[in-house]
Amino acid sequence: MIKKETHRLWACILNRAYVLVIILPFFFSCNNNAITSEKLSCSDFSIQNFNPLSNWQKDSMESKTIFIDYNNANSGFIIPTSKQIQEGSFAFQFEIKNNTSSTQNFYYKIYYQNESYKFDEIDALTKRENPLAEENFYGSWENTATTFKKICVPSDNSFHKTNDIFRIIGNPRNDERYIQNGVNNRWQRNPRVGNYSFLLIVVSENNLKTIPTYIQNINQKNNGHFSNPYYYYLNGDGKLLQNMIAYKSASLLKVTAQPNLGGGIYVDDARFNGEEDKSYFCATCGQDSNLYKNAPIQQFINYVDISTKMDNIPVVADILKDNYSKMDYNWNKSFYSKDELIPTIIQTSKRPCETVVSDPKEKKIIIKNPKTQYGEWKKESVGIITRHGLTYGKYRVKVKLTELLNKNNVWNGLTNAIWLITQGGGEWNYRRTCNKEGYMATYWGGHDDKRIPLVDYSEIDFEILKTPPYCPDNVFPPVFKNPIDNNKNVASWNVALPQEITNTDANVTVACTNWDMACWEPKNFGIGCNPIEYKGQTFEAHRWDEAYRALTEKKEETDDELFGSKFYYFEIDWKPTEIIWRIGASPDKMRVVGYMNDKVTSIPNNQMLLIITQEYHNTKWWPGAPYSQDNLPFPLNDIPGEIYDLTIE
Amino acid sequence: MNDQKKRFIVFSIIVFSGFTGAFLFLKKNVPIAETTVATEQPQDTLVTVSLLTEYFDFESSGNASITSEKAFSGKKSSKLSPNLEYGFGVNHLLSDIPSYKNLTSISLAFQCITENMDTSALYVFAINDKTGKNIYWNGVPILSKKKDTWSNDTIHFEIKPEFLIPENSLTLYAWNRNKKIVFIDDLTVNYYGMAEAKTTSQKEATNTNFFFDFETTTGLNGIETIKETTAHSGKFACDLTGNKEYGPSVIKKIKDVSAEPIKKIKLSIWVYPLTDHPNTVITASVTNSKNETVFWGGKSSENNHFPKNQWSKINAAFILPIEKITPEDLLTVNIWNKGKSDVIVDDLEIVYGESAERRGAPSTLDANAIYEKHFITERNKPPFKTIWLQKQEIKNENSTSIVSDKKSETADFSPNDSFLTGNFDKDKSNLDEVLCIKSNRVGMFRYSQEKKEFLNIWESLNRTDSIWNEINSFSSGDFNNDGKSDVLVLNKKNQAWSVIEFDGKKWSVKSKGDKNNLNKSWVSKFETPSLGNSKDVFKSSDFLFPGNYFGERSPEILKLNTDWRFDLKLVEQEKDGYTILGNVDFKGYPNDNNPKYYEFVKIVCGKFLSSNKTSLIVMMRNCADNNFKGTRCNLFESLPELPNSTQVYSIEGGSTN
Repeated sequence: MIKKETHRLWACILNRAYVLVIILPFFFSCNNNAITSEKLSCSDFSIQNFNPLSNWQKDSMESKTIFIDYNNANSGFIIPTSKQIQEGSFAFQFEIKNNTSSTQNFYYKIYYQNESYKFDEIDALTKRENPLAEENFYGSWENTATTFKKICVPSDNSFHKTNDIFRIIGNPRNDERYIQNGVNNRWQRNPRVGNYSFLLIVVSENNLKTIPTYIQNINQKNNGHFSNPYYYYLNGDGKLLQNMIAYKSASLLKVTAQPNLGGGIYVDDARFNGEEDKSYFCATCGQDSNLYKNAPIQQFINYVDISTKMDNIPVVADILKDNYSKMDYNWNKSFYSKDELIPTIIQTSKRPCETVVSDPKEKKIIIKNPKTQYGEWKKESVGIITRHGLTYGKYRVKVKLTELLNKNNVWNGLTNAIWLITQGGGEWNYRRTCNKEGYMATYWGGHDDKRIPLVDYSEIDFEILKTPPYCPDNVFPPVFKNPIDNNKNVASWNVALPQEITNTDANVTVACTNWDMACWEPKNFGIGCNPIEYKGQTFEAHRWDEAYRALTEKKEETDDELFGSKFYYFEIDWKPTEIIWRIGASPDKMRVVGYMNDKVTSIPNNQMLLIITQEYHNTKWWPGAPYSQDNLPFPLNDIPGEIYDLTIE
Repeated sequence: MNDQKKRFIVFSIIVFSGFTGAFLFLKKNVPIAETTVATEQPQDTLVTVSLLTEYFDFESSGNASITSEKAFSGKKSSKLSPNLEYGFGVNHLLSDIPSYKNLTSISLAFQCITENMDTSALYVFAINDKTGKNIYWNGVPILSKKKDTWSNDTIHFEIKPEFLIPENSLTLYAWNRNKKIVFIDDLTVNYYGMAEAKTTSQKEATNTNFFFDFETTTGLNGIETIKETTAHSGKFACDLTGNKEYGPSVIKKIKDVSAEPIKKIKLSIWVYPLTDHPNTVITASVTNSKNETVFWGGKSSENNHFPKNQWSKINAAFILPIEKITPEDLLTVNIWNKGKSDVIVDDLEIVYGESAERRGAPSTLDANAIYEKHFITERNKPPFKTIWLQKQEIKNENSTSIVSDKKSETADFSPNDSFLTGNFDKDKSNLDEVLCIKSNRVGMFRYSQEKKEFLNIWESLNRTDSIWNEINSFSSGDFNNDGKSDVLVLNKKNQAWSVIEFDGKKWSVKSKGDKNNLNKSWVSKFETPSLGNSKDVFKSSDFLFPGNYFGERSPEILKLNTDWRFDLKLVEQEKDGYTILGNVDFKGYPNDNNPKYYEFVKIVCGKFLSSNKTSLIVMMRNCADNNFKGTRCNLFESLPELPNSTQVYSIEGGSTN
């Protein structure tokens, strides 16, 4: 009996073969990997023991984890790589039983979807498909033309096991948006981090015909839009199919990105105009092919805005170590004449790898704002940027960035920044259309900038510096007294800072900003100070005016806690409908310092990179700042910062 | 002796010791106390600046000439064609241009491209009066340097002062008189005028910070609401209970708070609501001579949380329309209880205008040279390197006394005292002593290299019958060429003189005479440093302190000027003149008590710590006199954050940065 059935099956496979499908009649009723799962049935067939990741972490059935492999990932992340699983693919399996009285062809397809960073498939208001669910990161087999695969199942009242493979890759829909010059640039839509679900669809031949092409082939659009298959099968018309089983696995795969910070720093010629001095290149920092292929980080060169031109006091000092005082600040503010000032702009490194170091032993990165001297007079920003873009994720960094205030609570002029920035690229990386007036066209333009429906610019920031909150606005702007340069009267030039500044003298401000490019579409788009609640906390979001491209929340924290300890954690939790900024001494002690949602700001949905910088800002960008950049000395000593870990999950 | 007379005598001592010391320096390179040289004071100058700059890239202009056929930048430019005789134009009322009264010329810079280098087109500058009648017209050809290639062109128009009437309008437009094809892009229009470039001689800034705690009513109008009540500071505050709508006002003429136009006013007030949801407004307004309100601004508590029975602050800042304001206008700050709820307000702070600009002419440094690292210093021009004076430990606990025993009154060095330095007492250390001459006593001190502190080696009451009395002036030097420092005592009235020498226990006269046999060179007037560039380096008000500050053979001159700030520089004499080696600053002082921050500082130099290196005794004090001018203080005050002190400094290793 068994032999006869086997023969029939092989004939079926050979006649109507779909490769990669292996039916193992020997294990029809076996359960040798101890999967216990629900059995789902329809009139024609039953399904059980769907295991979407049968070759990965076999001992862990419910929750599995994989770290993104950054090696040779310039073409996009692949989950898993052949380094992680020899076959370079996940294997999945399920068992099917034919409930009819004759051998039947059934059809199956596997879908996966990122569940952590998705829009609900159902629109809460209309109860129909959420149009934004097309943005969800879902996929199936890489060849989107492979719609359903056929299996021929005998009517033997037994379960037959089916094995197949798939992997998670970028641009899983093979969307033309990410194909340029015939090349599918999968890196332009990298797999998201977070949890992935797996949906097995098995359908009878008759019902298959009723499944729309744009569901069977995820590359296809319906009325110009992709349609989310999860919605179709679980909530939409597909749910009504009599002989269709949508089997959503209970087990999830958690994808985490944790680039090795000791894995080297790549130097991009384009950032240095091709004129860089390469004398600091070394095995862990430079442009060799190994670094090009494998380094997860590259040196970041800040955009230097001409508005950073300053006439700086001609003083070189170590504010942090020399105990630079408020009186020093005040004297320097009053008693240098214009002709003594140094015209300067904020600088960036001209010698890549001089101020950034990747330490393979400690698996950390060290950055430093370089010291300067008489005649050189420079304030040089420093930073690093990731090389692989992602959309959404909880970005957590463990860092020991420079202290910003000295013992006298005088600011050293630096802004510690942990921020996400658009990966650029133009059309392929456009944000979602802004349907109300459009976005401001450029991030640097003024109020008269034209508005356009699509931009690729996005930015989400932690910027930490000495500046007062804008909200509540009854104490903004601080009322600073005007000093008088009378050296016969100390009180005339050594003016005290106002109480609203000195009350929080030891604090720095954690500014949390989303650059929404002034898109007016959010329901509660506002200007001035507007409160927003999150889990019992009220945050004050501030926007200067309706053309202002960024929304900012500020929270004051002690400099000693954030930058005086051995390390500290900063986290940007970027979700499709909200952004949460957290800080804390350890990952389990994070506290929220900023919160925004899509009701108040346009949350970006394009691909971004993470940057960590110690940068000099023109304080004209920060109204109310008690210390002005041009009145702070040039650095006498290097100002180091260390980055110990970056985890995106 | 009355105070005036005392002051005169002390002053004479200072001046005389200065002159004599300088003389000795020139003659023998022996340190002197202090002196001055004469140079010219700098003056303010007029410079041409751009009063207004406009830029047109034509990307978003609605002018009929705009085309996207060609563009130098972006996608659009302005096109003159056979169908279009007049191109893009700019039109302004004179009064719309900031400081239009200073307008002297207009410059247009633009890119153009044409089929023929002689375009025959003009840029026209016209002025019309308030009726629209043209009163001036000038046209300058638009020239293209290259055919069929974008090239830049600049056109310049002068404006005569008689046209600078606010109602007049000016127009700039392209005239395609021969109807050729010309494209113009990236037009920049600069309106140039004269402005005063202030130099370091500019006037002192006046106080623009005002604080009213309502404990007194000076400077306030409408004071009936001020009474003793719950107060943020003191006992008095403004009580706006019982439907009272207005609190006190501060009314000032613009010219009374600033010689310059005030662009901004900053205000703050503390509010204590007695009910929920107060609506208290702090306002600023400007009224002109016709009693017309030309500006009004207010900031209310209404949209913020002001808890009941709690002090909360309102800050406000208003930008004032300077083009509408004259110095005679009244600027009024007022407290308005708009909600008429019960509220108390206190501690009104007003800051008129913004911080004064720094003094001096703008820096002429080449930012590119610094950026590209080929910056070269120019002799005697800032920025200068910094030379550090390191504080030396003398075990006086940073008190005003030069010795650790604070009981010695003579040792309590004050900037009001006179000092002589020299190697008066030949001992094995070969160090200089410092002689402190007070009005009522005199003492001599020397540093003990063994004990690492100054010791009092001689002291005397300065009785009127003593030679140290105020009839005489004093100077130090080796007047008898015996290798040891003496003191020349000169009677200010009759020029009788004596040279006295210290014998280890007392001062005794070694020679004396009258005005007939006074060696004139001893008291000759100090000669101004005579090398060619001395006027570039020295000012008449400088105090000079020659010495061997690096311990090397060739001496340097330390010069101090306190006209504006504590400005200490080290100068080197070279064959062709003087070179400023750098700004001199201090290191190692306690807390942030940098000597240069004190109101009254006196420096005495000498080889106090080492026989081959000059050190400074620095007396630093603050003065409580109301109108302290920097030369003598009647009442010293020791501020907690800046305690009075006497310290010793010397250069260590010639460190600079």
